Amino acid sequence: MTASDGANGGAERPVHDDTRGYYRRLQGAVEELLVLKGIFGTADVAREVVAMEARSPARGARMVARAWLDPGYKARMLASGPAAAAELGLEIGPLRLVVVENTSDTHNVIVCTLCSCYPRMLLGIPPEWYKSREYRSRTVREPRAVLADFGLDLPDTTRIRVHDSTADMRYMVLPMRPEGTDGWSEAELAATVTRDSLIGVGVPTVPPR
Amino acid sequence: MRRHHDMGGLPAGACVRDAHDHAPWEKRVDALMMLLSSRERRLLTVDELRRNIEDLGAHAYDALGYYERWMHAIAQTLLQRGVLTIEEIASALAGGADPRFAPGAASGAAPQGRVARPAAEEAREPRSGKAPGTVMPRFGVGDRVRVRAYDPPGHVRTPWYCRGQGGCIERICGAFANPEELAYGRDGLPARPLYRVRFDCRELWTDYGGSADDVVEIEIYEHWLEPA
Repeated sequence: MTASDGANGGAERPVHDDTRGYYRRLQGAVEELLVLKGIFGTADVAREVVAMEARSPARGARMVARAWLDPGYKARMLASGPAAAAELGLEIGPLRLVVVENTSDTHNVIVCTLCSCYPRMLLGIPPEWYKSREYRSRTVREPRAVLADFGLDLPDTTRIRVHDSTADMRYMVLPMRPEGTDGWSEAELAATVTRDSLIGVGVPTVPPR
Repeated sequence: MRRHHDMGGLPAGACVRDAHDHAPWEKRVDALMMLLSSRERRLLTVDELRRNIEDLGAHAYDALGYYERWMHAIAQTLLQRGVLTIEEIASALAGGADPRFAPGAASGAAPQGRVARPAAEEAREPRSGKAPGTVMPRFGVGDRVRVRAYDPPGHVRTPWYCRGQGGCIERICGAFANPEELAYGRDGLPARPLYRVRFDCRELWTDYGGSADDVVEIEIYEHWLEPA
């Protein structure tokens, strides 16, 4: 419907004219009503905001660094992501975490072509590009080209496993430990693990020491 | 018919890494989803959220931001469940919620002020690997399967690009309430076995340009699979 054929004399507007302000106000209205009805309190909303802000890729990085240092932990993590998170005291709620391991001949990358499934209870809110049409459309079709967009060029001999996260599992990549990190502490190793490397569009980066 | 949100394999532009931070109101949309879907409340399932996002239609789906789509879907779900009414939301949008709608307020001019049903009435089985009525898995790891070439309407979690394609069972994930039912407010039971199915990229895409060993692995519910 265009502005001129609305029944109310042109007051109809296309959706894209009526965005940020409307949904921001709708959020406020719905929150206000739910608080009024006693479904939750305003403090509950604030608490959830703080809790989500506290979930970050640093939590996944801790698990990865521990796995690099402790083969027993790595085996437990590959067998059960939730148990491995709990072992480090990381609260992930009902998240069914599957950890997939990069090796010298296999590289894993995570996508959700249907929406934006992501291990948010461990790593927090996904980045914008993960939710984009570009990433969601192309990663299952031309993963090497997508990885190249992120600056990651893999040799043809590396096998790529794309994980389309369509249902109840959520995935995190266990990247390979970077070279030149012998003797590093767990915290130093964790600092090399980027969010991109946990999704599989990057690899750990070694900062200059 | 391929639905608009089901975009795996379609051509698109380059991926651009960005560093967008979410606005405070967007974080509160996220918090609403967390609170409404919590075990204590169960006033929204992620399946209802997805269904309502998918039902936006192509134009709005593309025009709205991520949390705008979520906010739309949260409001739709609350309307569908009778937790809120259109008049209540309209009133709150127009200048603050009418206190007559609050539970316990003197009854009178606001019969629309329906109080949400208690959480216990809304309770449904959690999407647990041990949901009651679980069907034993029909397929084992390594079995060859084919994805049914169904084309139903409504909310489904089997991507278009793998329908009709052959693959093999990579692992059995457990049994989960059926999202095709959960999305419409039903309990989704009996729980359906869920598998990860591995597809060779060169079988999925006849002109695939990468290594012959490259694979895509997809979670697929048993009722979408048949022996190959």
